[in-house]
This record gives sequence, C-alpha cells and structure tokens, in this order.
Amino acid sequence: MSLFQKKVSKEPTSTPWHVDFLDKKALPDVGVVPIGFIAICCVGAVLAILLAVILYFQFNISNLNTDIIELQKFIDKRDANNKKMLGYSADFLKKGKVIGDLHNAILPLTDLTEVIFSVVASKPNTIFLSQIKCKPQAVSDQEKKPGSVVMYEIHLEGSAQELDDDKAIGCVSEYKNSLTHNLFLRGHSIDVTIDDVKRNGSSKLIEFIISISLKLS
Amino acid sequence: MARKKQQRGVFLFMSDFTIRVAQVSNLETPLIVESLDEIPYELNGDDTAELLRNAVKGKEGKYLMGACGVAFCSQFLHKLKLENKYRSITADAFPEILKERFNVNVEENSVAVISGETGQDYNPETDTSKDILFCGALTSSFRERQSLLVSANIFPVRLELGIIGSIGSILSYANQIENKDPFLFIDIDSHKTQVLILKEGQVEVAHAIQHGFNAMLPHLQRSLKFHDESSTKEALYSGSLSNTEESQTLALEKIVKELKSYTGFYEVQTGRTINHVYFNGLSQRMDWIAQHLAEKLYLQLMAVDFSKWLPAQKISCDQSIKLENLHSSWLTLFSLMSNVIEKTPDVSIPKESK
Repeated sequence: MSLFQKKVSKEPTSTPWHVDFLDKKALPDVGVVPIGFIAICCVGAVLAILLAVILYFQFNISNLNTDIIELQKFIDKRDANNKKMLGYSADFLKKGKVIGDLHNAILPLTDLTEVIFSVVASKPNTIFLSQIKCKPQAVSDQEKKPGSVVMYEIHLEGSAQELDDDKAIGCVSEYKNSLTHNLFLRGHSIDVTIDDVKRNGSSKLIEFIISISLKLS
Repeated sequence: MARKKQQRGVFLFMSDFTIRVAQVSNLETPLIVESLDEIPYELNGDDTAELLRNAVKGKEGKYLMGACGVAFCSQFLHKLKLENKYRSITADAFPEILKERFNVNVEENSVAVISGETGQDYNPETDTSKDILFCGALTSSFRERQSLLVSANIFPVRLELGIIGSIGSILSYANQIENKDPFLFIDIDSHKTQVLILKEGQVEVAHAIQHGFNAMLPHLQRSLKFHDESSTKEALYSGSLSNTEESQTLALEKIVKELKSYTGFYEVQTGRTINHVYFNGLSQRMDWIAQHLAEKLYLQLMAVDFSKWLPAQKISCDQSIKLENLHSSWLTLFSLMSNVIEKTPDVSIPKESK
C-alpha cells in the first residue's frame, strides 16, 4: 500500500513539517511492546494465583480434618469421666433439694420476713390476723454491731371464729402453742404470750392479741 | 534521588553523497548532542551498513534507537493551489492529479500530502488550507534505506524526507530572526534542483528544475579538463575541484537562468523583493555553488546561527562542538531533533540478523 493512501486517511495529525515514511511492518519483530507476551504473562499470573489460593484452602481443609480427629479422640477419652461427672451432678441436684427442704424446716430464721412468713404459715383457718406489729427492742450503741443479736417485739392482733366461744379461745391457745413450737424448732429464743382475749359483741368473734418476743442473730 | 537511566539515541541524515550522524545522550527533551560526524560516501561504492555501525556507538546486542532523514534523487515536492477546478477536491482525486499533473505514480511512490500553510498532514474533510504539498519518493528507496539502518543495528523510529524537516526548521529560524520577507530555498541533488520560495511560515512557490549535479558534470569536465565524468563527480563531491569562474558559470548557467525567471516572476506578481537564499543540504565542500548562485542572483546567503536557534529548540550540544563554526547545511540533521523520538525500551537484535 502506498503511504499516500495512508496519509489521506483520518490519521491523527503529525508534527508540522515532519512526515514519517517509516514502514513499520517491515521492521524486525523485536516486540518493542510485546502485548501478546504481556497478555500470556497476565493470564499465567492469574492462574498461578488461583492455584495458590486453591492449594491454600486444601491445606487448611487437611489441617482441619487432622484437628477434628484429634479432638474426637480427646472427646472419647474424656467421655467416661464426663458421664461420671454428670452422675455426680444429678446426685448433687437431688441431695441439694433435700438439703434445701431441711434448711427451710430446721435451720434458724435469719430475718424478720421469714419470721412473719412462719407466723402466717402456722395460722389455722379459723384465725384471722388483722394486724402484725413488729418493732426492734431498744438496744444500746454498743450492741449495734454487725452480727449482734437483735430483739424484736411482735404483736399479733386478730380474731377467732368458732361455733362457740370456748372453741374459739381454745383455737387461739392452740395457735399460740403452734407459734411457740415452730419458732422454737427454728432455734430462736422465744417468749410467746396471749396478752388479751375478749369477745366482740357486735361481730360475735373472739378478738385476741398475742405478743412474741424473739431474738434474731 | 536515584538518577534516571538515560537512553542513548542517534539522528542521521543520509543523502546520495553524505551521511551525517548526531549521537545524543538521551532521547528526551532537552536533547544533549554529544557528537556530530560526517561520513562522505557513495551508496553503491562502500559497505554503508559497516560505515554506519562504525560511526554509531550502540550497546552490544541492542539496537540503537534513531530517527533518520533521507534525500533521494527520486524525491519530489509539488505544490497544488486549491482553487478553480481544484476548489472542492476530495482525496480520491489525488492519485489522478499526481499522475496527470506531476507524473507521479502512487503505486510506486510513497506520497504524503501536507498543508503548505501549516506543514501538517492535510485532511480534505477538515483542513481549510488553500495550498497543499505532495511530497515523497519511490517506496523502494525508502525501504532500501530502512533495511540499511536495521542492518547497521539502528532501529528507526522515524524515516523522514530531510527536505520537509529543513523547510520547517528554516521557517522557524526566519521567524526567530524576524525575517518576514520572502526568501529562496534551494535543494540540489544529482538530477534536479528544487526551488522554493518561503515566507512567514508558508511555502509560497515550489518548482523543480531538471538540472542537478549530474548535469553540471560535463561542463565541469570540459572546462577543468577531467578525464571522465566519474573523476569529475568524485572531485565535485569531495570538494577538491579547482574551480574557475568560467567553469562555475558554465556548470550553473542553466540553474541561474531558471532561478532568475522564478524569482523575477514572483517579485513582479507579488510586489515583494527576495533578499536571501538558503541552500539546503549543500555541504561546505560545495559552498562555491551557493556563493556563485547567490552572487548571480544578487541575493545574500542565509546562514543559520545555531547558537541562537538550537537553544530555542531545547537542543544543547557538548562543549566540544563549536556551534559558531557549524555550517548551515547541518540544519537538516538538527531539524529531526525538533520532533524528539518517543522513549522506547532497549530492543535486542534477533540473533539471525546479527
């Protein structure tokens, strides 16, 4: 092809007064810019990276399999011991429940709320409590130390309802005995007295006041 | 800071009777010219590739990047004014115009079309230039020079017609010295004399006189009493002619006559006076031709002051190169440098071509 045909085509404008007549196709193929080679290198590099990534994952998987086998052996080795421990745990729960029940039934009450619950729990159905007054006994400054014994005065006001008055009074007396017994069982120093018993004419109930003196430690 | 590795390069100008070589230390602006050499030769007489290999200092086993300007006796430069019947011409018509008007066959020749006003590639679809230039030479001539360079381990990155670069450079120099008058540009080869009238960055006139060095030889042989034309030619190219006024007049009579005709016609037509003449590629050895023609045409020789022009082109020379002694004909070689080679990596020479 004549260069003329090339020059009148829409090639970019050259530098003024410098016309290039070089026949680039006739130049030796020295690959000044070896695009083909670069492309092959790029593809090769990508493949090499992919291969490296795959090998890396394979290596990791192999490592994980080894770890799984090791851990399974470890688990198997500990299995008998674990079963033994689970037996201990079940036994502990069972015995713990018994100990809890014993604690609730026998061990000394340590705070006033528990005392109140015990007072209410001991009450027969024919007894109605209208007021519970609790107040600590006056103590000297020396006695206000942590862990020291606190004295409480508890006054129970209520009424008993029965078919006749004797039964009602007997019921109050029985309740007083029950309180004495329960609180004594829980290890408290106790003094329970019936302060007042009177008949309410309008309601036909026997009204009573029971005073309890006890020490909490 | 690490110093950037510089890439050496070479610029060459090759005509039928001389090779000029400039070696540069780097291929990026500002260019630093390390050496200038001239190798007189005849293409068919010497092993030119060997001459070139010896002249340039490339790396062992590597091509040396280079740009080359060439001058052939087959080269041509024709100007066409785009008016009248050529006003709305398309590119398709160029081959026919070249054939009919300038006797140039585009099948055999490599032809470029450039604007006579800007020197850039001419595009009929976008360019508004009124004057276009057809330039080129036989495709086989270009290929032959290209092969020669490769066999001399020079990797050509550009192959230019030296005359086109010279036109651009002398126009740039005229602009630098603020010469706004038209001036004559003469390029003589074996077969013809190319005559141009340049003015303010443009080619105003382009003609070729079919009378070159070969046509001078019979006159010189007769008047200087040489045995044959080949010895006369050798004496002419080597600068060893013992010229007389008579021999010069005889040898250059036809050219003087034609040049007077062109310049006179131009001056009458435009009302402008031509005061200067520049001889392209005519080496110092043939200065007598330039002197004689300038004298007969009553014109002053335009000498290029390289110490002024080269810095403006961002070209500097080694201190060993005395710019003040440099002949104007070196402009053709320097003109290649105003279009610096793009930086390219070193390329190895294929083993089979070593």
